[in-house]
Amino acid sequence: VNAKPAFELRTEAENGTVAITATGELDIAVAPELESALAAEDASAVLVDLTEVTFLDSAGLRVLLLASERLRRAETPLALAVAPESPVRRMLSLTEAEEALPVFDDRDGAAASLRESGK
Amino acid sequence: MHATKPPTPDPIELELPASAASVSQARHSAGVFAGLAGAAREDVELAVSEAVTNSVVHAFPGAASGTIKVRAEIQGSRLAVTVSDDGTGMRPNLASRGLGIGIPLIGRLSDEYRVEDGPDGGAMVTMLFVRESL
Repeated sequence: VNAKPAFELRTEAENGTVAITATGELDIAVAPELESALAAEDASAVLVDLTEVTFLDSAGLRVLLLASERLRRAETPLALAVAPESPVRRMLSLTEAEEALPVFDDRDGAAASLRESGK
Repeated sequence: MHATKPPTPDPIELELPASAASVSQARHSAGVFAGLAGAAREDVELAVSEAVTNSVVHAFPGAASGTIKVRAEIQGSRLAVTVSDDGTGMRPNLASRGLGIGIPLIGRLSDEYRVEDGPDGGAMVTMLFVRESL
């Protein structure tokens, strides 16, 4: 048996904003997929919707933190949507990554923050 | 009839290739066992994911292949999960794909843990979790 966890990514681009929606379990087996999606060079803003992610460990968190740092240096706004009381939110809280990442409770809140950033 | 005693599931033992895809397999099996044992399933799943990821990332640098063993068993009021590998043991690895927070995270999630040399030459992480619903 060599099965990856159930995980899906959907990437949409609208007016320069790249919106990545992840569903399922995010661990080391699928983290490279998210890393590739986040590597989009021409985005003017990036939204990552993690509200349907049911598991996150440090391998997935690493990808989010690296992307956050790279986008910050490029002055590209980033917003993450993470449901309150979810396993993802708990992981962010346990590792204190919540303070390092631009986290919003839902996709609308994340999108609004990107609109306010003016890009 | 006396009150129903919580079930004591038989130990599980997995032998998995040291590959990224093994992480979810170990996590899911340990999670099911944690559910049966009355331990905090989400904590066990995350801790096991971190321990197996550590083995995948640290124990087998380069193209080396190896084996990771996962054992879960009841020890009285606690659930014990052991993750061991036949890799290079715990060493700094500058090419690591990890964040270096796996072991601290295991410390926060488990009741008690230890890292030591394993029987197969690599590292062995033992994690104990309280069976909360006993």
